[in-house]
Amino acid sequence: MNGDELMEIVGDIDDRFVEKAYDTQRKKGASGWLMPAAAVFVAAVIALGAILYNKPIRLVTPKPLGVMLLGDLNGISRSFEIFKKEELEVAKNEPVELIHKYDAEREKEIQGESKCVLRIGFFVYGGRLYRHVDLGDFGSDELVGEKLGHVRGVGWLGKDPAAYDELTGLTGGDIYEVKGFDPEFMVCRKGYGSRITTYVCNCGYVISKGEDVFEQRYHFSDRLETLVYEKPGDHLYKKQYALDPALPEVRSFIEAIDKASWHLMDVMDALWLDTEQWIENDYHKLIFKLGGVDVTATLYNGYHLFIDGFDGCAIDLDEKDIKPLLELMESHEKSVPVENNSDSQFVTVEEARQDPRFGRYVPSFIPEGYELYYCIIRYSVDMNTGKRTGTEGISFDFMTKDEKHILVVIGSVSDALEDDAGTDEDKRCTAPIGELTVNNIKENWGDNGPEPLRVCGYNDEASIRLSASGVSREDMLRIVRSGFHGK
Amino acid sequence: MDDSVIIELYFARDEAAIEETSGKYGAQLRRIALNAGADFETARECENDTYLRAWQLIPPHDPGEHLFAFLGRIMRGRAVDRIRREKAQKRAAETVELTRELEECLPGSDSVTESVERSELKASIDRFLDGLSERKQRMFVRRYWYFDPISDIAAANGMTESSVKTALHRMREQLKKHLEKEGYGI
Repeated sequence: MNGDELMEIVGDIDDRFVEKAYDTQRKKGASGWLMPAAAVFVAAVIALGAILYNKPIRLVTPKPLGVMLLGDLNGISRSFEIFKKEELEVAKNEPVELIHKYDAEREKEIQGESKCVLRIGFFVYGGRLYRHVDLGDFGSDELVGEKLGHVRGVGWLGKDPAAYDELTGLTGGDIYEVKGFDPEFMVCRKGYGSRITTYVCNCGYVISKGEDVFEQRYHFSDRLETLVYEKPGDHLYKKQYALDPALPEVRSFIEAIDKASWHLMDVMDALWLDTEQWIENDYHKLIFKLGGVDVTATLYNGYHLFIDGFDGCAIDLDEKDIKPLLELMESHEKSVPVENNSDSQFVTVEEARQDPRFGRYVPSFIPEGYELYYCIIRYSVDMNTGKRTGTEGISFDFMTKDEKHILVVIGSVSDALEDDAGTDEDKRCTAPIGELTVNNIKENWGDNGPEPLRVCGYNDEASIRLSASGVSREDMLRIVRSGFHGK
Repeated sequence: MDDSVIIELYFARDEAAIEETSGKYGAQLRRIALNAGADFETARECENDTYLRAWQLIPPHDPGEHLFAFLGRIMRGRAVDRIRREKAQKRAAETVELTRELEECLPGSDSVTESVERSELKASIDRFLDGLSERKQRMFVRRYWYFDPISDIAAANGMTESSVKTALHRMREQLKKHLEKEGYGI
């Protein structure tokens, strides 16, 4: 079969799809076919109306000069396309909301009901609005330059502007120059240990070409020490690889993004990408390491490049410009694996078994019908060095096709005893592994009826906590004992 | 005039059916052919062919609530056939681009055999479209059924052209995976 034949078969699709698309097109008033003279007349009338009433209606598609980024005291970046006056009189004036998602429930879990302000979200300095952008979480304080002053700004718990209303008010701190960067673009605050928190002013600039941001502000070509990437699907496992910036594929990629043009993204498109691409893992994550400052970007589908800190706009690349780098990232031929220092990592069961502290306690028995849904190792990380110092625990979630779960958490003995400490004597389910029996497996009742069964066994070195539904007490005991077998 | 009344005219063999059809749907039908790369004369001729074919098919066929889809399907087929015949040596750029795009959806150019029932593949594509949001359904159908240019789809949806191209590219990839999953790539 070829494309022609598939096109014919597409012609046979169900009528309801055809009618739906027809009706919508009519309602949106898309310009139908018109005689040329009539079309010109109508275009003139509509364009005149657009000038008079500030409605961005186009019958032609003029090329925008660039994207202007503006901020206001609510911290929301607004992005505009700017056109030459003689081509079309208006700028597209649609505010673009921050794309980030704010999980209020999760934040409550972390913070409780406290209105503790974690950081300054944005502030005004020198007449410019600076927003917090995550650049180099563990950026070194060697980058901290001259103190610029003291600012007061609005803090936030998450990234949802609506949360500002709930906060106690303004907070403040000293701001400093970031060595090698123009303070009109980037400043920083000192954090815990050697951490710095960076703030970027992306307001009031008309950015047209990639180089307006990548070279003029971030100085990619001068400062790039390494290009780190994650391939599609690797971000869960945090598998990162580094490329030498001297490689011709990396150099030509930088040249290509410098020459490419910025364009505005509409809200629906951005939201669609924000959900679908993240779910489908269909992107490369790129980290440009600029000597203590990391600039993170997302390369979606090989064509769109989004850069953190510049919401609402992206640049598009031609396939021919990006292909050499994509092939290099696919093959890992010239890359070096990057040591993973995040505080958690998704792994396979076999990789979990290799963990030096808790790997030997991975249960060898799981009832039939349960498949691994995920396995995650949690690490402790030194806040000053940013390096992992040890394993805090390993968690597994096994699931059946009808979504019954077995949750296994391997951790320290103190974790298990603390977990059980507030429980009534008759509901406690924790015992030394040698004393664990079916009687320790407790059923709890919540507001919605019976909750999953729970049990926990421990020895001098580790504990295994288990929570499961649809599993017999005997099997639960067997799971826990299989983790301690011979130990 | 309501579609049901127009169809009654066909059933009554009243030639006013053609006039009414042309008045209501002529522009949209011609647009399908023009979008596919036909010139104005060819579009007009295909339009006339479509009315003749509709006259021959109704009755006994009754398009019911989907008169435009019925007519549009005939028009689409006519237009594509004419363009292929008339420009056999030099295909219209529009149809070349569209068929090239759709070829990306094929799970291996040799793997979908001739013996696959057309109706099965059509049903599979229907299932694929059912799984899309309404917005994406519209974009896909406007591009590959109505042959709308990217610029028109962008304008109708308030999107940039590059966003539309990306969206369509994603849908073609999804269609390919869908066809593979339904066994057309094996």
